[in-house]
Amino acid sequence: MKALWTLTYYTGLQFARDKVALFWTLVFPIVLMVIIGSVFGESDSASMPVGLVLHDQGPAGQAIAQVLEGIELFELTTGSEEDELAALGRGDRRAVVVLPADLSAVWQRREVATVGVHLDTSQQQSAGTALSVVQQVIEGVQREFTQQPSLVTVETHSVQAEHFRPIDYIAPGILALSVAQLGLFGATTLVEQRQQRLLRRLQATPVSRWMVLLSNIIVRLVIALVQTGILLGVALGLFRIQVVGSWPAIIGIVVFGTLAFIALGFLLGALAPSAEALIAIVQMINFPMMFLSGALFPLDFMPEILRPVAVALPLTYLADILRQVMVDATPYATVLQGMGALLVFMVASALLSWRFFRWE
Amino acid sequence: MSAIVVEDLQKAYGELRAVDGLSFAVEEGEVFGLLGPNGAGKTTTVEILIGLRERDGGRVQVTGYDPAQEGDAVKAQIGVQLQQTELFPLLSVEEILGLFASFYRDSKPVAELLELVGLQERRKAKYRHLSGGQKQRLSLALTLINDPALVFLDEPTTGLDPQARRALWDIVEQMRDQGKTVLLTTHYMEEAEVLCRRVAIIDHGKILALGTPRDLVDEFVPERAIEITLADGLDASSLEELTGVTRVVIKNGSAAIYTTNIRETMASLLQVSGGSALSLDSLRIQRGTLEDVFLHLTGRTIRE
Repeated sequence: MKALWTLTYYTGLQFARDKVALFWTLVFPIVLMVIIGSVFGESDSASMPVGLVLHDQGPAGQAIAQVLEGIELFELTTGSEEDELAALGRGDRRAVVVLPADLSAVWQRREVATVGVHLDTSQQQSAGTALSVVQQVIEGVQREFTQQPSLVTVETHSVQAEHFRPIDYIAPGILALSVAQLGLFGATTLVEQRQQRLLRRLQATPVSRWMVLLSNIIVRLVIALVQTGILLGVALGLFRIQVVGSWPAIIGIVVFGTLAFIALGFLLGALAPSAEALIAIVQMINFPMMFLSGALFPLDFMPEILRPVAVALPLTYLADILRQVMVDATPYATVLQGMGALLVFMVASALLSWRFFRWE
Repeated sequence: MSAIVVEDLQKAYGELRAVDGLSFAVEEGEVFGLLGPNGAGKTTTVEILIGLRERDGGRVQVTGYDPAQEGDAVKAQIGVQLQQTELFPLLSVEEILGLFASFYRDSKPVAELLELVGLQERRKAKYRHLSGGQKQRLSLALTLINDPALVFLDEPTTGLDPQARRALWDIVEQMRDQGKTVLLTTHYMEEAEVLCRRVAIIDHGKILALGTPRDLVDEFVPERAIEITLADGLDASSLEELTGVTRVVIKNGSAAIYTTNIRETMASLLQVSGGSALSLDSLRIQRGTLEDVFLHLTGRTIRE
């Protein structure tokens, strides 16, 4: 046991000292997420769709409608409460303002009126902007109308829109992609050590093969978790992704996915004659996989002819499961089906790599 | 008692009979050399002895165990240096020693080993920054980490410059002085002569000769060579007429006079030189070397 922990510690230490490896596993995924997120992230179109439900036919309602209409930032639509809230639910509105039928009457009595504002909190930033503008407009009209301050309460209602921003879709995909890469490259250290005859040297000591393997797997798992932590931090902090699933579920899936891809990586390591060849093979798999798996965009966007390829790629399933658990996206397959597919990849790869891996 | 016993060891790779009926025994406390050219079967033999390779036939005992049956017991009790092994490039000298120490139940203090191989100054240095000689010295330190009674060194000085080679020899001599049994393979005849109490000369997987370097030379190349410098214009053919001379080799202005009877040849040489311009100022008498033994046994030089 002492040997296993010492091996694991020093394997990890080597990784921590390998600046190139650190860049590709910890920095690159963040760069990727930030770039893709900034390009496709919040749709910062010039105008913000806002719905108005005008129950009040009196002068106050008209005045508010007029001012809102004049705000350049807003693309104002007026409609029934039912239609507008449905549009908000679809993600077609950032906010819907509901003016009560008795608004003019209440203000004429110099009493406090309640205005409802429904916000799409999946788009926190624009929701916040919309709310503050709406609040200012209503309070302004109210003061002018009543010549008294503070006769309005704005009651906000949060709605999680069903629609997805591209970043909601992409963030779990990048997490899946990073985990997959980490696993696919998982055997590089071992293959290098085989090339340098270090594995043979280790075999001349009482340390067992499974300890050498296990220490590599443990280190990869720890790196996967650190990577996940960092990526989720960026996704949550910078892009305001709303995570709906439980954290243990997400971590469990990351661990499971890492193991599946490590098994696949070991199989590639068993087949590759050298570390250079292994890196070339992994890159050859990695790039097409990135684009064919639906990790970065929905499978619906893919030409019909490429669908069967996606179905055969393990990354498709990992991205799909993570997306379901993280942002409750429409699943491609159920979580159980996806896990089943990954398990098949994992067991098959593990058995084949155990069969073909050479220690010298 | 013997530290290693090998009887009729066999190993083939396809058609190639890498080890073809080797038999030898290594006594406790001796430095024993397997000497032969590349491809002679030395490394294969070592790998079988340390439990890294299965044998096809024969009997092997290492520290009383059969490495094929009780590999773990053997591995725990021996120290091993393999050829052309690179260790962990990003770990430091003392980290690598610490890592290997964790593989054994008991281990020697790292500081003591560093001192033995003269790497105290470099203990914080990353492996990839070490010179070839320092890497080899670290690898020797690793063979001693579990304080084994038996150490295997496979081509320990291949690729090193003469100075680094000397430093390594010093370490092997210290091992010997500590009473350790050492089995080393080499294709450097000089190394075998300096370090080994006994050597087995191997070619094509077979032992051609086995004994102390002195006995082997005496047995297979009893000739001595008298080397003298030749003045310009001297007729060297007269040298062949000296008593007991088997042949004369002239090269770069000096002559090597081979003889099986050094006393008589010297006497006649002195006689001849008295009446001629033959200078004896730089006269040297050379014994044969293991290189000559190998040449005699195989008709080839060892590095061909």
